[in-house]
Amino acid sequence: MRSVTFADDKVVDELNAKFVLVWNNHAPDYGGGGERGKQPVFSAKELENYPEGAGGGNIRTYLCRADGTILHYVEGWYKPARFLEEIAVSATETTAKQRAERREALLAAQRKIEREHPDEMKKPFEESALRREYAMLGLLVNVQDLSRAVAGQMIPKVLEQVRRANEERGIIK
Amino acid sequence: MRQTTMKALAALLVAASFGLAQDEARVATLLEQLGGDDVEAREAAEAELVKVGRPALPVIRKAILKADSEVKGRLERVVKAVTEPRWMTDLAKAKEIAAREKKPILVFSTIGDVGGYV
Repeated sequence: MRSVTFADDKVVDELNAKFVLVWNNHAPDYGGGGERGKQPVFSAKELENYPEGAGGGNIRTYLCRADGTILHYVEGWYKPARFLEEIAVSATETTAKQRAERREALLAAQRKIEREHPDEMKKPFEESALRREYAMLGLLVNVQDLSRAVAGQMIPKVLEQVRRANEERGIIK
Repeated sequence: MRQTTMKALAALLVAASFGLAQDEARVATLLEQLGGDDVEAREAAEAELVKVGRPALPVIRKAILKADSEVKGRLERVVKAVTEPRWMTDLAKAKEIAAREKKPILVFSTIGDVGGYV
């Protein structure tokens, strides 16, 4: 996120202007980069073919009201344009209807790729941008479902659940 | 029609350059204030430069090269605050600020500290 999305001028300006930003390390004992609290940094070039939406439970973005009530949740890594699009959904109150409409639109976009480019669907991810786009749309559909599940909960409680889950996985003590 | 469009465009350009000149004058005043004796005024100037944002960056970057260590430190903080997301790690404090500024909160959660992440 640092080398591409959080380094993008538009993302930085949007985040600083519209939100109060909180960084949470949900596995403080983990030292994946060899040093506690650090992970390897990927260059923008290395990330070019990294599928958007990947990163799962390691990369979590929660949009909350000022009192900490979760409005929307985005899981995974996205390039700047997609990240801005997804957080715009939740800059205001996200209704169940809006979320359902967005889910439908994402599924329709996925079906369109499948229908118009059947040969691309047989290629491996690394050889097809459309295949990666298709997968990313699927992950974003999943994001809408995950978001619906946590919306309305308070952020400290959800972060504690994430911490405990990492404890159970043995990532933190 | 074309003449009207050209006049409108010229008016816009004059307005934009006036805005730029105002920004430059404001930044120059703030830079002067930043190097002054009054600590509170220095703090206020630093916060104000962050509010000016990206338009102030070219002048700030030039000023960094000539500034003494205290002013340089302040200017570097301004550049960081303008060009990077302003993360904090205290959720309770974030909630207070969000309530006061009537803003939503964005929580980014990952494995790793600020500055030590993917």
